[in-house]
Amino acid sequence: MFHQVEGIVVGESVSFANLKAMLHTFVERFFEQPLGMRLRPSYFPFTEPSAEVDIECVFCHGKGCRVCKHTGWLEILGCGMIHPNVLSAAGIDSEQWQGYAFGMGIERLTMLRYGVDDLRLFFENDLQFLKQFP
Amino acid sequence: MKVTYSWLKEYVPLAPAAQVAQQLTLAGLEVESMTPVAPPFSGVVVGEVVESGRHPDAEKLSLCQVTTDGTNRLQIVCGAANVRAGLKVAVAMVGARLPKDIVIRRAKLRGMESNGMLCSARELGLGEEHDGILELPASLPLGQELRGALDLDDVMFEVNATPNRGDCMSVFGIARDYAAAQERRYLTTRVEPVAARSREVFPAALDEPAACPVFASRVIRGVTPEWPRRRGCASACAASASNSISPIVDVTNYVMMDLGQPMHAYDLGRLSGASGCERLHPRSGSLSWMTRNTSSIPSIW
Repeated sequence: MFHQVEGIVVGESVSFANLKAMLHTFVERFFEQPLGMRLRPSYFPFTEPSAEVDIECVFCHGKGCRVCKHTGWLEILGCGMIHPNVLSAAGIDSEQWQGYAFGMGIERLTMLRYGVDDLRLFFENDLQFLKQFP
Repeated sequence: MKVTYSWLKEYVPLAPAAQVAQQLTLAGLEVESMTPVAPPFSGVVVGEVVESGRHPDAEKLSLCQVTTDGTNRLQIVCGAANVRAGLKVAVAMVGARLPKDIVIRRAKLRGMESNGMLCSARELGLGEEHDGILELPASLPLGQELRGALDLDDVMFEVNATPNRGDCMSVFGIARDYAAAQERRYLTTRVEPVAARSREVFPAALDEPAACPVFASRVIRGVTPEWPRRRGCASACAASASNSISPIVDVTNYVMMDLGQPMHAYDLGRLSGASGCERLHPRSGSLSWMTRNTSSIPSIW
């Protein structure tokens, strides 16, 4: 079991550059340290173009370790520009409006942020564990 | 999709392997892993079994005379059932270092001297096959280092093409994207047509025209089912993790991996008239694969 959080922003001039800036800010604030970030072209059916977002490995800082499979990068979320068909299906004129969308795993990000190495710990209701997150 | 560095390089000039992995990833073709096609080993050369006879004191062992230079003979004791005179084999010479820290020494097996070992695929870390020793193509030159003979000093990339990129499910497809991203050039390939030598045609009836609008076939006779050597076909297929079944199947798999064109070879002797065609496209029932596995076919087909 895991949870996913999704976000979309729609406006008349929302661009991929806005998405990128938002992600930079998010990564910096969430991890509370300067981390390298890269967008990797990818594919999702509901966004076009799409990208996967990697951050510099928080464990080895890009040197390569077991967690990042010696790539120096960790995949943290998927994103892209909302596909015009998705906007149309929601009754929004895709000629006038555009937007970006992103989605990420809550547990995954929490694990990276706090160095938790086992996802099951979140669901075992061990107070010693839970009380560490006031 | 698995693709080797050397195979990709046949189409497009490449940066060093680690950099290629990064370039492909950033072009949208994520490289999930990069591994050597064979673990390190040394002292293994191409040899030929000159004679193979029973070991005087062991039922399951053979006493073989093997040459790696065409003149001198080595006596080697071998336990494989498929060892026979005339077979090209992978010979681990005395002093050879094999994977898992195995060093080959001169030894006596049930009283008979053995000067080396004939290797199976598993003993060389080339696969799981351990039912017998590796049967090498007859065309390989005696004495050549096996690593060179089978292009084993190579790197395999596992490329994760996203579902919208069916065009990248072949070596050429990946090379085409690589050339576009790195060199801003559209890579093309030309396959030289081979003129038909037979006027024979096999009448194929298409009973699912929507699923398969075009079916092209050619009758080829006089096929010698021997492993082709050109462009390391068998080893390329093996490296791309498709199990070698027969040289003919390997060729069709090779073309599909290389160019992305699905192909199938039918045994003309087993096809008969129109009823044979129905078997090409069964509506439902079960299907026996060449691997001896059986699958049931969902009725939707």
